Amino acid sequence: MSTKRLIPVAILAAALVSGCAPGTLYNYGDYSDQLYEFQRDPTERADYVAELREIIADGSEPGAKQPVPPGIRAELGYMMLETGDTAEAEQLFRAEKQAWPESALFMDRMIAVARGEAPMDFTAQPTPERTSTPAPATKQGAGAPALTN
Amino acid sequence: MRAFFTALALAAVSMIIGCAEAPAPKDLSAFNTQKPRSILVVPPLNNSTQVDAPDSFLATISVPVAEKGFYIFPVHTVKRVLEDNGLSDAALVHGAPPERLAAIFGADAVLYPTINRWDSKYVVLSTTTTVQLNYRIASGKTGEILWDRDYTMYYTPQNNSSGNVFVDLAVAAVQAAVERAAPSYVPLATQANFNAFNVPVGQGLPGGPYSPKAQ
Repeated sequence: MSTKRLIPVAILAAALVSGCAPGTLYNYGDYSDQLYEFQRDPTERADYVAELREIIADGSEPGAKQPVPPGIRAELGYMMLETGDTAEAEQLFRAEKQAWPESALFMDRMIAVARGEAPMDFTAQPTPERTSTPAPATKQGAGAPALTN
Repeated sequence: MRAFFTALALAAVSMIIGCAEAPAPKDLSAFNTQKPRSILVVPPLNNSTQVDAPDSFLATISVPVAEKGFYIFPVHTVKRVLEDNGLSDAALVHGAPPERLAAIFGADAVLYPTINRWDSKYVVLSTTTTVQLNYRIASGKTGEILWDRDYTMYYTPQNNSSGNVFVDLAVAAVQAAVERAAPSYVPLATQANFNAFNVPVGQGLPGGPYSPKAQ
């Protein structure tokens, strides 16, 4: 096989190996393997967090053809919340809400949790009104609860 | 002559794969009326003997749902939030109506997965794993079922032949031992979840708002 023929094959092989196969909307990297390992062994936390960061970095590069997949920023935000990095968590939840309007209600709840304004037990909060279209980003804390002490 | 035998072989293989009897096409009228944009996947109910089947399932479900063009809520976060909301057991979650679960997250639809079978047969130098999965997507607004699929798959990890029969046997023996000792079902789960939503055409999940065809 001549070298000229090998180049497109090599590109395709590299693309497939990098998880960036042509025709897919997103590049999930090693997400599945890392989440599996983390579920099996919670001490694998650092690896899982690192993978989430990498997926976000790849999708955030200028000119990236594949955006950050849905839910990944929120997932990293939740991991940050668990380690007490509430400022970064809030930032990630806001970024998720901006990128994915479908996440708005959930992200508003998580932002409130990150800011210490609400507990994780959402059933203690009143359910905000659901509209048929996702809430616009400017809507102030949909469902921000009157906290009872 | 060779082309004829190749065609015959291909036809035989596709019949073995199980396309012999085409199932009735799905009624997608509710799905197409409601056009859900977001799907909440809750932890699977596990009726199998494979204790960590739900882990494999959850780790691999996000990719095909997102690739179909839907917003999918982060599955691990969802699991933890459900736990913090008093829904720590999959059976409890599956007993909760879709409207209630959807309201917690602001989801348009809820996918309730059930793992009915997940077991492996070890036969000398190969392992065949049989999985039977059910996927039920219910409307977060009305509670009605939008999509429902029973999916069965027989999975054998593929070995590439090195051309040397002794090397192949050694590789297969090592692989079988590894599979027995600590099988990772991520490739299997990846394949099953992909197939359930895409194969065959007509039984798959319709595309969502971010699907290229929708634009």
